[in-house]
Amino acid sequence: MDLLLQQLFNGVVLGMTYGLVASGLSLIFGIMGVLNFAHGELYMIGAYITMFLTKAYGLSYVWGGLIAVGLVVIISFVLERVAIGPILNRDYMSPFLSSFALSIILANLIQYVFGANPKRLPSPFEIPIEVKGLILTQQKILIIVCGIAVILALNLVIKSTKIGKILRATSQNVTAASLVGINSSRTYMYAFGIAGGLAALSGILLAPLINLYPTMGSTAIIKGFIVVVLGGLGSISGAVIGGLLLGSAEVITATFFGSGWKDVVGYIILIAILIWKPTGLFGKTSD
Amino acid sequence: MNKTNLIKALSFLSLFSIPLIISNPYYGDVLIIYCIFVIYALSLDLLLGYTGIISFGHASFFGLGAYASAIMTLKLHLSYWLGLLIAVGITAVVAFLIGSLTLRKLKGIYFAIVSFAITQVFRFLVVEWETVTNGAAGIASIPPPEINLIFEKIAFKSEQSYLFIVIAFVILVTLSLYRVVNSGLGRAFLAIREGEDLARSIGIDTCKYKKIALVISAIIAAISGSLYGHYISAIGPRIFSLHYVSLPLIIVIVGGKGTLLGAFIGAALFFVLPEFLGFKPEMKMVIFGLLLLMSIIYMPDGIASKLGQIRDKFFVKNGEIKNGKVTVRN
Amino acid sequence: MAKLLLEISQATKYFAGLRAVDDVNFRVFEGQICGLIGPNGAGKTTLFNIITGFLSPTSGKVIFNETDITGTAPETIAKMHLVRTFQQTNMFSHLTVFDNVLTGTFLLNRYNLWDSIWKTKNFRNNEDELKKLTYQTLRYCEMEHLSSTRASNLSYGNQKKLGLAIALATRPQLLLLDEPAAGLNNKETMQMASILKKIQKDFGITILLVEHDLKFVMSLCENIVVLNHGQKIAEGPPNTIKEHSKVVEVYLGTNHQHNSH
Repeated sequence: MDLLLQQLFNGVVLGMTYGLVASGLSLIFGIMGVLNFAHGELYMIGAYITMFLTKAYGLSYVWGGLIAVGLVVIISFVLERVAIGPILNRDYMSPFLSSFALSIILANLIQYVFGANPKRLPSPFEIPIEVKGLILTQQKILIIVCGIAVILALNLVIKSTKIGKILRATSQNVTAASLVGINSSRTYMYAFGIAGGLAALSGILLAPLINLYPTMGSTAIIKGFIVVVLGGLGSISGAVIGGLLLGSAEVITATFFGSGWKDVVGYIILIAILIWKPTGLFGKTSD
Repeated sequence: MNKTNLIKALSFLSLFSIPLIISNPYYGDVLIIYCIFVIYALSLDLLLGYTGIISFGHASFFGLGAYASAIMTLKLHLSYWLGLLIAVGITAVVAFLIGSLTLRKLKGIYFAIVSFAITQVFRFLVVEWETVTNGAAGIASIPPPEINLIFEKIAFKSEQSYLFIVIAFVILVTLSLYRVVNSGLGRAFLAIREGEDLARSIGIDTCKYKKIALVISAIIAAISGSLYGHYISAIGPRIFSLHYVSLPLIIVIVGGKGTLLGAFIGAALFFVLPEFLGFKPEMKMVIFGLLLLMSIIYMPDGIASKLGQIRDKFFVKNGEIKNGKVTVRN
Repeated sequence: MAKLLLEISQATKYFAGLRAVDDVNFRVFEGQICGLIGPNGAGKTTLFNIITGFLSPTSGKVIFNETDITGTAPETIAKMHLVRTFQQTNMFSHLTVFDNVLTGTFLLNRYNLWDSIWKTKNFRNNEDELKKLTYQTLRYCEMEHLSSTRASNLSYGNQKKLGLAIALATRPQLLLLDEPAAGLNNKETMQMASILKKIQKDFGITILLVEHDLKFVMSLCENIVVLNHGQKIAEGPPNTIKEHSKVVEVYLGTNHQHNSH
């Protein structure tokens, strides 16, 4: 029982990072209609930059992480300007394929610079705490707290700030939004930046628990796809719920069937949902 | 046989002199890999370039072809040719099932995602089904193809002899595909790419023809996978990875989708050119990622159609029926 | 009396509670050119989609050639020689004009995969036949000089004609045209009208068309059905329709207002 509880807790931690990755993915899809394949690489780069800053400049984990998030936001701005924005209106295929190209470029660039070997990003919050038999670490609690905070903040931003209004207006009707003076192209850049920042944040939070390696982005993006499909594409709360569900499902499967089964459960969920209920578990069924 | 056919036949035959000219096994190796990936890219081109289906799961068929024919020859001791035939058959059936499940409901990026997820399920199955597939370690010492003449067996072991086989397959696949895309079937594929509603309105059962495209494409991918496995003689679950998904995508898009020629150009850029430039593998992928990105943004129809435009400038094509013999019946 | 070709009975379609098509009945007889008119949002295109299988009606029936085709897939309906054009996507834009029309002959293919790979006699004969038919169709639509032009490079008027040529290449019995003259200039509209008349006369193809241009419809159609808010409000020959009080009020009335701005 304790083991299962421990595993469930780990599942929630894992799910929270999935949710964080997926929320950005979902945000971009909801606003731009683009499924960003390079989103996983932004997550990976966030972690690598933090590692680099802490090692090369002796920055603390927290400061390194904050600067890394900022840098990834700027990188996201640039990537959107260069690779996504110019071809957004061409056809559904082009932005997806060009984000795939970005993903190849970024993953191999990092491998070129840092090598293929796994790297460690230590965190000062790795002290274990025991609560009633459950072994937690501050880092895991930090992930959950940050996850909740970020999702609440994101919802608040979208519901009640000016930027949020612009984002919502653009996602509903680009033409109408541009008629009332909203620059949709700039909105897309903001959305990409916010999403990139979220990806980087989740990478930085999760990195101390796992090793860093250049292909971690493509692993993450697949999880992100599964989660957004679970929660319904374009829904941010759905992304968090989907993340928690996937995280728990993976951990439970690993406990009962062995760790080899952990990843495949997500793929099967993805295939099944897209074939039988493409709007996601929580999406509205369309006519 | 008239004169043009004779010229065509002779020029195809002359391709078989390539292995005789190239004696350096290193160049032979480069050319073999080139030919195998031309076939693999051609198979994706039928789907992506002609039918407009974006597949991120083509490695499923490539890997399935490689694994199935390796298992047939190693574990069941069948001849390579029978093994290849069975591998192709299995892949065709799998592609048909996948198509039946997904193509009716899923369009665009949704199909792309699901096809990739299916590839990962294959990877999982290959790792888990250890008794047959050797699990994560993969299958080693896959035998080269052999031809059993009455007195002796000829094994296609050397680069030179293997090059014969892959060239034969490149010709076979290219010719078949060329004729398919220039038939009513090919026009149905193009119609689906250009607009499904219009295609349906002129009587094309889009779902059925998408399935046909997927199965033909999977068959060709399985052939290339099998040739690959028996050439490098060792395969592992990595054959289902994103790397093998992205290779044909890069080749077809950079080379030019929907042209067949694009696969040859793209594969030459990817497999032949870097051999002379000597990149580190990561740097090569960065450069090809950039090339892919630039192709998508600035040259969405790829290099082959740029060449086509140049050709059209110099040799204006005057419609398919030039002779005024055709008269209006009514 | 000519043979009954198409019968719409009590066709109704709801979209989220909104009645896009509401209990519409009418018939099209063989050899007729029939017009379907009405203001924007009257349900004309929805009705077209119902007839051609792109939408299933909420209730009601579509009978073509004595066969109930309600809810049948579009490609199956096309096989029965009921073919439509679209307002927007009426051509395969990356293909040449010739290949566009050749694609339209799809249902006349009489060879299989094997034939095309081995270029058998069957394949060559059939392909020659289809290419001849394509050429004839192009010539018929006065487009043969454009045959190697990419469809997307055509002028708007020629794109409309190409849409018609593709549909014609399927050898239809009944042709449904969604706004064949929309966006055309006067000269092109006249040319379109004359082609349609010729088609009806030469091939005996029955035509049902949706159109905004009243002059075009009045000059071409023998029978006109008027829709408003999804309901049929009038039906009859052009002269009757012109004077029909409801039509004048609903259709021409709004049109006049529009012009006076």
